[in-house]
Amino acid sequence: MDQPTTLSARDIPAFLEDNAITRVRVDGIQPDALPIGKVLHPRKFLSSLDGDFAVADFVYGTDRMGEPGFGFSADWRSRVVGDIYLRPDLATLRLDPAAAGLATCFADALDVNRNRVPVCGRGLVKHLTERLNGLGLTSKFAFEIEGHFFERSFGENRANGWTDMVPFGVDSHVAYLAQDHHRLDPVMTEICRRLDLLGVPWEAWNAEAAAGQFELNVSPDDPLSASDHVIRVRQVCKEVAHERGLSVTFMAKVSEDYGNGLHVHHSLLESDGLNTGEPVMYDPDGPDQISLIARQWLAGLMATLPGSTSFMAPNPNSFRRVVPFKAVPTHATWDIDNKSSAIRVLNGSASSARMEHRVGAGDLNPYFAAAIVLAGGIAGLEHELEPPPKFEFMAWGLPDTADSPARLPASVVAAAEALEADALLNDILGADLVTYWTGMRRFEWLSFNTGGGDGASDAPNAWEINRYFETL
Amino acid sequence: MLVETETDALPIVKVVAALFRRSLSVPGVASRTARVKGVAALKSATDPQAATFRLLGDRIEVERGVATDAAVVITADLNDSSVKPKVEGAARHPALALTVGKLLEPPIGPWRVETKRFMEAALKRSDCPKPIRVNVAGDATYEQYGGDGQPAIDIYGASDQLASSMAGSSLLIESVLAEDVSIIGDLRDLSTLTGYGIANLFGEL
Repeated sequence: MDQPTTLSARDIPAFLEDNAITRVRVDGIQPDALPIGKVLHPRKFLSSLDGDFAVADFVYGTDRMGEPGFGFSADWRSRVVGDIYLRPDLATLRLDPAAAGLATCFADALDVNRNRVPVCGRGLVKHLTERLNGLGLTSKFAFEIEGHFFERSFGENRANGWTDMVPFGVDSHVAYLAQDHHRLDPVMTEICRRLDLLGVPWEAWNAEAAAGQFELNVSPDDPLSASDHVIRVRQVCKEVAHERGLSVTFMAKVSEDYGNGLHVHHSLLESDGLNTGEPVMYDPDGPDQISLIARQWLAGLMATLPGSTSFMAPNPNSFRRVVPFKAVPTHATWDIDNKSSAIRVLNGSASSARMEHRVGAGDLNPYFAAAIVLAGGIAGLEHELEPPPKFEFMAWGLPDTADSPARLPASVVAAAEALEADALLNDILGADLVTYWTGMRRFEWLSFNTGGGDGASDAPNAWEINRYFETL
Repeated sequence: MLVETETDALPIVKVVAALFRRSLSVPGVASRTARVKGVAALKSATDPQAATFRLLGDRIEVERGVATDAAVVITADLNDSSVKPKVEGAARHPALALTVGKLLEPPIGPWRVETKRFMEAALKRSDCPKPIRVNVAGDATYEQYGGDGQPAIDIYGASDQLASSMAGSSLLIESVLAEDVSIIGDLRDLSTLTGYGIANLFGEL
């Protein structure tokens, strides 16, 4: 299967005909990271290449269960129910590896004036990438994707009321347990085969610490493509699990066992906007071998860390994984190669130097995660910020004393408040996004705590699993 | 009397605390409450929501869940006040049960009083749509707030329903969806007013 490379609109008719395409699925990604779109007849797809096609604005403006979000005023949605427009991004057009005659592609959401819809993560990443290019830089991102497989299909587990679920794996709590790979191998091999065909550059996978848990790593790519890869990985995993009578989820915490994270590795390189140059995060003569650019970038990440939590941990379920000593940061710290830190700096050499933002939960929207990292870093560069001292200790189990690092927000509401209070992020992300996002986070919190979720318990109940399992 | 909630309080904790504060403003309730000490809880009959309240004489602390030392536990359908709640422990702790019952049910004033109170707080917010006209369905009675002229939003409902919504006992959006209250306006303004309603429910408007 030869995937298209750099097709222009003029090349598309031949591409569709040569590959006997009978339909094209065009997906926009709404704020909760649900793929939203239509399956288009090739004729309709061709006509949309001149512009876009309409979908109701509320498909980008509901929660993950389809409830329109209410309770806030600043709103990108029309005053009544109107349309937004999805514009296919031809760079993402792919032949589907499993369904004959199907092509898929991602789309950006535009308003009636064809401006970027503020809650469209893809558009935001493009915007911030251009802003970074304006500083003479570009970036590479890679997400560490974690998920959980379960015995029985989605339908069977749903019919069972999401009770008595059986993890698809050894109940050992040992990460990288190769003993379990024989069970995962046929499933992951098929997933990776399809990812290869889709052009998703997967690097490695392994069993993770919880029963049925796995991690899949994808090679660094530009922030938009890296985010697209996460959506494709989630989709392919769902499809393969479905075909094999299994189920899979990327929800942050599906049981009291280890949860799913989505750490964001990233590095900076020189760029003139067209050509990518040398990596710039490493300086053998700099403090801790960190370059000035990287120090300012790091300072921006640290300054925006509390506010970034709202995007990195978007749901009440996200915060269930925030438990000390469970590989999740609880305090605003950075350090060199310290996995208890919120920001882990890896600076062994110029080519490998990078930072890992470790706050992200498995249920985040990857576009917003990339955007929040870009926004924080750009703020650090533009304001020439200086990072706080590194915290060279274990950053779990810390006392609440005046000289201890600050705790990260521990709830959806606390994270929303931190984002609202963050002048740097408000300036870069814009009030429209921040107001809508924090309004929707409070709506999610209210729906969770008054609809059937149990905020006082340590483990998710059936209502909570039903809300997040299948759509994550 | 001070009503304190835990940090990062859940909705039911905020709602209970707001109800208590309203009840305590009624003459006689605070002095009666000050004489009763004990721990009681309210839990939902239909979902996991629960709150525990500690009556400590000079203050009340509200926290999530049902504490193991709760002497009185009220189980209620939080979405349907017509269903009679079940009360455990009332026989052994009648004063506590009675006091908690009063605290949980602050009186609702006439629709004009409740609407005026709500609108005065709402109109202090910069994003409040205005003017707003509140109409009693079935007759020509209405009040307009936030200026003269064509209303940005018109709200219609029976007087008791309006009083309930404005007092924070029900949410405007839920009343609209249930067709207990009607509106002429747009979704954005309804969303804004719903936000105020939630804040009112939490005692934060």
